[in-house]
Amino acid sequence: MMKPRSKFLVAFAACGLFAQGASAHAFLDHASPAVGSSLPKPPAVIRIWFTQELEPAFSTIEVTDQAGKRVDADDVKVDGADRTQLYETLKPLPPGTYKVSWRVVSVDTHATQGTFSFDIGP
Amino acid sequence: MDFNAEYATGLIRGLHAVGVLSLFGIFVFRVTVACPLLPKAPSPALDKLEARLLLLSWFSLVLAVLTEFGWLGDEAVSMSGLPPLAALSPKILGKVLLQTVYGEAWLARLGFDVLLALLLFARGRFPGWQRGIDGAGVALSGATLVALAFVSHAASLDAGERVVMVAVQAVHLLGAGGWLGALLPLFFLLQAVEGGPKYRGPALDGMACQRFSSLGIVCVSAIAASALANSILFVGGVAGLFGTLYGILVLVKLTLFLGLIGFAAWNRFHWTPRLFLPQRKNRGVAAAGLRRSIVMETCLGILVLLVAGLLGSTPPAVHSQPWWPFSFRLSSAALELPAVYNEVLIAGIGAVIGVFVTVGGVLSRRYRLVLGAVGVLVTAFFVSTPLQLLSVTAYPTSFYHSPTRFTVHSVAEGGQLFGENCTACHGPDGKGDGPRAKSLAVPPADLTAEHVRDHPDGDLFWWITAGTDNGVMPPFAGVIGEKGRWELVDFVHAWNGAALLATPPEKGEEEKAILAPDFRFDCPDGTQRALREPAADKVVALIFTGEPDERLAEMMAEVELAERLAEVKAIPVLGLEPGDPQAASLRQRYCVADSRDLAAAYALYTPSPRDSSGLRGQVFLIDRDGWLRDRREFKREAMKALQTRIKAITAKRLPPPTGGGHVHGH
Repeated sequence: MMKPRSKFLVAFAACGLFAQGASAHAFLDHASPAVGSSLPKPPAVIRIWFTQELEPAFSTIEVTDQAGKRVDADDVKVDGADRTQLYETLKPLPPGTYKVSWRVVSVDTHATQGTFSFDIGP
Repeated sequence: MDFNAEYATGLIRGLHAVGVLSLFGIFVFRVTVACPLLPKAPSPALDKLEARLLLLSWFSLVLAVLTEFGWLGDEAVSMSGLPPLAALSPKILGKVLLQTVYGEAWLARLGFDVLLALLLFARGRFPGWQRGIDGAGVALSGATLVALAFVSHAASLDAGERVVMVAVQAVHLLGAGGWLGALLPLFFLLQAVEGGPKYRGPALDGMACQRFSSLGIVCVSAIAASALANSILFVGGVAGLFGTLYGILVLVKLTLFLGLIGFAAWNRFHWTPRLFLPQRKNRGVAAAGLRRSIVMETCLGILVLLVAGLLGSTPPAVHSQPWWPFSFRLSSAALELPAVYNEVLIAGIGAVIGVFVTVGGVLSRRYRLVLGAVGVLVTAFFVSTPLQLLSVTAYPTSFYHSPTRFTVHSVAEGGQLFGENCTACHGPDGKGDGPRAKSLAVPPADLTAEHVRDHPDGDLFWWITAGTDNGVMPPFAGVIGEKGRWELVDFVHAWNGAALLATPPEKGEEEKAILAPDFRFDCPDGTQRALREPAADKVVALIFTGEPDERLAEMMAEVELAERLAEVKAIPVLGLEPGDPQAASLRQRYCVADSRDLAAAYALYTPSPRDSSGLRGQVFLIDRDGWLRDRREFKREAMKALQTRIKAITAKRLPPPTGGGHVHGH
């Protein structure tokens, strides 16, 4: 049996775990290449869709290889027609695992950040 | 940003609101109350009032401008993510001011502030222009409030909603300014006319209060209506109200607001009539009481604005996970049982009768006490019955929204985790018959049972996170990460849905709505779509086929031909396993979905759930609402039957499950 006290502690710990996610505003909606996906061919562009419109001046994407070297062209833009979409050109990528780190500011001024990875396989 | 920083931002926003609302209130007061009432001839008492109002205006303007700069610095830090010294560089500040929506609204407000300063400067010097200056003051200070609405949470909404909600926000701010901002000016007016014998004549203070009440009623109505619209959009529901910081702040603000209304009513109905009493002494007592009351109302008003500032920098409840504080929640699932439905219906009628008796009691003079008491008791009795019948056990995470959205990825990942962590007790088939099941005091849950789908995602998430109440299932919070636990919830729902799909409804029984795991597919015209986004207007036929190229082409042609005849509305999507040698050529002709996750997730719905080769030659039919309606063999001889089924699915939509369970994946 779980003691009431330890149950409380679990609940408390859980509360702390979720607090971070709860303070976010513009969430990642979906991405291309998709979060955690494996691609047969390297993509030329990375696109991330968010749940809110973004401020282009303070929204960035950084793609790094396993050695931590940046492999994006550092030309991130917010799509003119769809201000929830952020995209950036990628250098030609050899097979491997790539980490995508994003930090965005939504139009109601709140900053959020996150990471995900994708694989390029032979 | 950490909580203390949010707190500081909130306070700055609150103080800024105090400044701008006060300025707007002073101009509104001048135009609607002071100007029509007070004689134009100068007098020492009116000069005193004028001097104080001007001082208060300057004070409000300076407060507004100082906090505006403080807020800008704060935003530069939070937007750039840099340490304060680096963030306050001209480069970053320039970026904030010139390249963001916040910056545009900030510059507009600063422009209005400069014009307001010119107006205040002119007001003391050109007495003849005062009316024009006051009118311009209302317009300019009102414009700063409208500009403020552009940086509220409303700014983050979709274009259509945004226009409406920015307007709602502006109405809210204008209402608050017209009421709370005019309180101190009213106080100064009462103070100024008090000892001045010349103006005591026709109860000038009483008339001012009456005019102020009319202004107050208009403002409070605007505040209440806009607050309701705000709550619906940003709090969302009961869970958001009680389970999030935003909701709690809304409750605090509402309580303080009711306090303000209490003061206003007391001032209006208790003190104001007494300002017209014949005896000078009684009038004096009333005027002093009223002034005290106004000061307290003002303090409460400032508190409300500080809470409002905190709300502005707190994520809205609808974007947060609500931590449900009660051990029960209301669910309409039980209403499906006829006995419960009837009992609730009877209780409802009883409660209505109780309310009528209570109202009758209030209206009747003779039996007020007896009827009132009986009415309240009857109402309470009949209201408590459905509350008991419809309340079900709830957990802190009961109202959490799943972040994983029931996609093939989350289901596939969840399946992996299930195999590693859950089969020992729940069994490889999830029927609660794992090797350790026999040694447990309470048998593990059969996850294929239909009632599982009546539980909200948040309940399942709680049991996985913290264990079950009886202590038999241990907590997995320390074993599986948060995302993994949500993926397990998705897997359990998929597994449960697969069991349901395998047992077709009996005669007379309604077909059940089973949510299909979401996936993306690419079509030859270059478009990429997801199953649920945007919602399809046709049935999606997800076809896994092992046919050789030519035969496949023939069969697909039949599907497409049928579609073109506009009788059968379906989007054929080829589901491919990764590494399919035909993939490249098929992509040019058909919409294609291919990933390991797609195969792993949809294999669950076949007789060989762990072997994706069992998908060969299967077709899944998913309707416009995202419900998985059918799985059958995709073979040439059965094309007619397939088309008939697609037609039937198109013709009949299914209602979502009523249990508040697995309704939508986003």
